[in-house]
Amino acid sequence: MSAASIMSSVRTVRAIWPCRLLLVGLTALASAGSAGNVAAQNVRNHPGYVDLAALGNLDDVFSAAPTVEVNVEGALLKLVVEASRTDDPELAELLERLEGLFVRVYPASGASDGRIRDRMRLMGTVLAEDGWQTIVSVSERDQFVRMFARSGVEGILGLVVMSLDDEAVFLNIVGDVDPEQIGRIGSRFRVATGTKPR
Amino acid sequence: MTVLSQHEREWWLERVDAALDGELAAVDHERFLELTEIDPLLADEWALALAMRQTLASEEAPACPARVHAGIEAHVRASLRGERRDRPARRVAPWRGLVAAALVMLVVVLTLQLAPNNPGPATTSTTGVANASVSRATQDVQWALAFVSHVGRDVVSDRNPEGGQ
Repeated sequence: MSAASIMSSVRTVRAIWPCRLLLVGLTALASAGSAGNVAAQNVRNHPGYVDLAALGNLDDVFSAAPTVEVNVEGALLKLVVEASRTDDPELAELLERLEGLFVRVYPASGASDGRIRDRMRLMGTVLAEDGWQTIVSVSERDQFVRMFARSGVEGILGLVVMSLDDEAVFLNIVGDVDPEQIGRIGSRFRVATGTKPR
Repeated sequence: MTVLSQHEREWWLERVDAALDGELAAVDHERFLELTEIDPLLADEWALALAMRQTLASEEAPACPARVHAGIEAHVRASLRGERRDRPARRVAPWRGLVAAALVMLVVVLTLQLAPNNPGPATTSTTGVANASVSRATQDVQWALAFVSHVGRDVVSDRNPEGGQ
């Protein structure tokens, strides 16, 4: 092989190489994005997931839109895990085993309390029929709480909390939930009830 | 009278322009000015240089006659036309098309990934990962865990539950 043909080959490789690198990078990026979407779809097929808004037809019950809507799942959940890993390894460890966390908070006026309680009861009945276990049930004049858990062979698969005081809270934690760990870690944050995240 | 030898004078005369432009070292410049005080030839050269600079600075730049200007432009245009004619057709590197396509794909992928498809109130959604603040999501998670902790611990201990396991 002559020196000229060797140099020509080198030039060709140099010309093609950046293009290959770019294509490989883009393919990886697209794959990562698709993986995020797949993860987001998977959590909704998880046995611990409940679409509470659809189950309770909440948009019909509440005249106002939710004041808080939190959907932490897939890529965002992974980012939160990574962000917490240094500052709060225990939280990161807990979140690592979760598939998603969903919250809806609606304003609740006193007049609509009865209707909201009825809807929460109905939702609880449906959940119980679907295999969810009631672990907390409080029906007081000023507070109404229902907490459900769904268990599998490997432990708890999901947690549902419905609470009504001055606001109606619907919460679903999906994944390998350890209530004891949640109680321990959650108590550290000292977030008073009623102080919603928005 | 001068204390400079011929050789020294020539050396300093060669540096008059540098002195005028402020390019001499401070020590040399000081020495140069001292010598212009005692050496008439060097003083004359220095005075001439200063006068020329003064004159040039005060004079307006001569305008280029329109006829000459037009001639230069015509010459440049003709030269450029000739260059274009002689230049071989530019070969577009084949990988540039691929890079352009890849960039379009990147924009499409990022747009699809970053565009929120659930513009609800104060929504933190995976479809808007880039827009969502991770710290906000962390706070949301912390609040949710605190809420569950409160319900599971405080509410149950404070109240008499209807039932439970």
